[in-house]
Amino acid sequence: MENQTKLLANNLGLNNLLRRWKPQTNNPEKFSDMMKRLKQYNEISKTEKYDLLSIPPAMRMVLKIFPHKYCKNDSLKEKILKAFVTTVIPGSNENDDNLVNMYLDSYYPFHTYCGYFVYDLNRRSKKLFNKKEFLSLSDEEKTKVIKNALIGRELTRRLYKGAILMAQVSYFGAVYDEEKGCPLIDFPGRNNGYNQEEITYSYSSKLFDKELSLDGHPW
Amino acid sequence: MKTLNTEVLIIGSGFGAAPPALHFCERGYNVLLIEKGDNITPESDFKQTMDPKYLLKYIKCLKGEGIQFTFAEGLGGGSGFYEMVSFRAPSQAFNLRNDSGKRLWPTGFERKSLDPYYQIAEEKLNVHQIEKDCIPKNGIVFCKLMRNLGYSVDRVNYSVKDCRGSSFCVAGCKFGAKQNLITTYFRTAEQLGLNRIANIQAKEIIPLNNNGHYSDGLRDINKTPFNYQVNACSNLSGEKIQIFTKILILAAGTVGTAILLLNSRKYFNNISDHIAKNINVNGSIKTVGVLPDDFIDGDMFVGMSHPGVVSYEFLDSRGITISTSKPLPVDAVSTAHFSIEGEDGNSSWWGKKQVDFMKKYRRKALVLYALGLSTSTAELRKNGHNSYKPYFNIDEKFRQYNDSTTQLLHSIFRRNGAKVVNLDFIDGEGNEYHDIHIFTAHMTGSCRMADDISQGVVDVSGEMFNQPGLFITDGSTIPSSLAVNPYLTILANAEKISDAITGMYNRN
Repeated sequence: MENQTKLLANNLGLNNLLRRWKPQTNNPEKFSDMMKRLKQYNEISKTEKYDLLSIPPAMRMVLKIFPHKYCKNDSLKEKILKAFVTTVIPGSNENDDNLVNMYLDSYYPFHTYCGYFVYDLNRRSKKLFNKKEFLSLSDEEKTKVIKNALIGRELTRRLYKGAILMAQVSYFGAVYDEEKGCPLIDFPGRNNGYNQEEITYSYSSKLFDKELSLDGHPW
Repeated sequence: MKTLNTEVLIIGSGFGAAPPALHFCERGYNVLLIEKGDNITPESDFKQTMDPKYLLKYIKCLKGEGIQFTFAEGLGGGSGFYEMVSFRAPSQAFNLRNDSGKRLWPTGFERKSLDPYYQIAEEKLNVHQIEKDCIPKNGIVFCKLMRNLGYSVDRVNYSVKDCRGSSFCVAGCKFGAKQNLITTYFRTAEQLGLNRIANIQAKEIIPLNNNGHYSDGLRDINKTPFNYQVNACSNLSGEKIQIFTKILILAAGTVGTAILLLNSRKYFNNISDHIAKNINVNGSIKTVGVLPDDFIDGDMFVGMSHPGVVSYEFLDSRGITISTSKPLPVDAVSTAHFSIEGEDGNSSWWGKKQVDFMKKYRRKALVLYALGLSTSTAELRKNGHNSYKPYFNIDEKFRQYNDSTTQLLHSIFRRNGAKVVNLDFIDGEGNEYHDIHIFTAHMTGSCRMADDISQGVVDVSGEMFNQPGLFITDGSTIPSSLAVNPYLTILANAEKISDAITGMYNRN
């Protein structure tokens, strides 16, 4: 049974996130019933009418038990992800075409639960700020939403920590635009090398009067 | 299934593999080398990028309890991705003893035993000391920090020709300035007939005709039977390959060689219990500081990846060397969460505070790291079918070493008016480790050389105890931490072993 769940998770690229999740029942029949019910929930949750919060986040992620507009509407997904990145990295440019590429890149498992992630951002925003969606929040409010998630359930914390790490790796490391680098932190990115005066200081030779050896191998 | 016969089979293509490949080819042997990773053509394959998709193709991690090993997979092993800093290990390393007072290195093996081979390796890799007026800015900053406190600093040796200082050394030098094994050792070996195949993974070794006795005197290769069968498979097609060899050389690295032997253990009689144990971690301790505004600027993003300087000031008193490194942004943010000491105590690993830190990172941040003659060791343990995980026993001795070394590095920052940056090291998903966690690419010793089988896995000539014709030439044979980057010592030791092996056999 646990294997079945793992297989399901694995197929969806969620094996990392689900590795500590275990089904609540050891009875195969009950488990089968549970899976059927969850699939029904999946159908129900296609609209935003019902928010089935009683179901553990791991199952909601795997079976996509959340409003499907967060999976289907790429434009909405991108807008929310961009707002997330500009909150995590203030000063990053929301018009940067590459800002959220890593989240949507099929190389990384995150793309499979991206829909759930943007749904969760919106759900938390509404809960914390009187039904306002994440996109309509101020920077300070957006920060509070993320902080709220980072003290949430373990799975949620891991999801958000992973998302923050991906934003930082992608943006500071200029992973999707090596030519441009990351002007925000003055990272020049790809280059053809530098002149001597850019690499060193002219007085450097005066600093080595206390070397222990002539060849760099004192012992 | 494909079947191949060869006189010499070398498994792996890193620093331990290059010397035997060249030595045997020079003497006219039929040599086959197999590499698990991809073939690499430096001129076209190396890229200036920190894209995880590119880096993770070649750089692999083995995560475990308290420790993470990093190593390269691909033709040339770590030589494509190292910082090119080239050290001869200090004499103190060769005199290290275990808790029982037993010397870790075999009897008579001292630094001077390796010096002639260091010289050979240095010549082949164009190693030379950096000129005083070429030290990168971060090296100058380091020098100033140490000189302000009256500590010595030495210039290091590099294996490089015509460096442009582009700072992407660890992604592979696309300009061909950093010297690697592909364009030096292997290019010559190929001209002499080396047959090398990439994307072939050795799965297990089966000894044949093995009576456990070493023949006295010169061994005639023509009369030597095929002593070992290696079962391998193609990582591309899945095709199974049987390779029969007279001489087998394992050079798959501290992790790869140990795992291959563990997976083959059932076929061997009387094999050492030390395989996959005694793994030295080179006492790697890292700290970060933010320089005062009036201090000269460094530059994390320009110049060679290694800033060209090292201090031996504390080698005698504490068994450590101190140096500095220049992690590019991806390395920095994926290694630890930062928070500057004294700034209201809140973590600043994302949001405005983190951006403020990253804006200072290029010019005002400095990494100080120590490598030490630590004798605390790790081991590989089974973690599922044919899968292994490293375990590092963080004993009291290592905790004390970690604490006192960290305090020293922090005090160097503080006495210069710099702020210490607290580091919470993180895993690949951004979760903090809650205890000491060592990240190292300097692991050695999983098949250490020793005087006898009760102490280690191979003798000083690299031959496995009780397994004639099976040699290990990589970092797994190095019995202690070295307190410096170990690559040159691995290469020199492989030169020494290759010299010994070719002297054992007669080709006529």
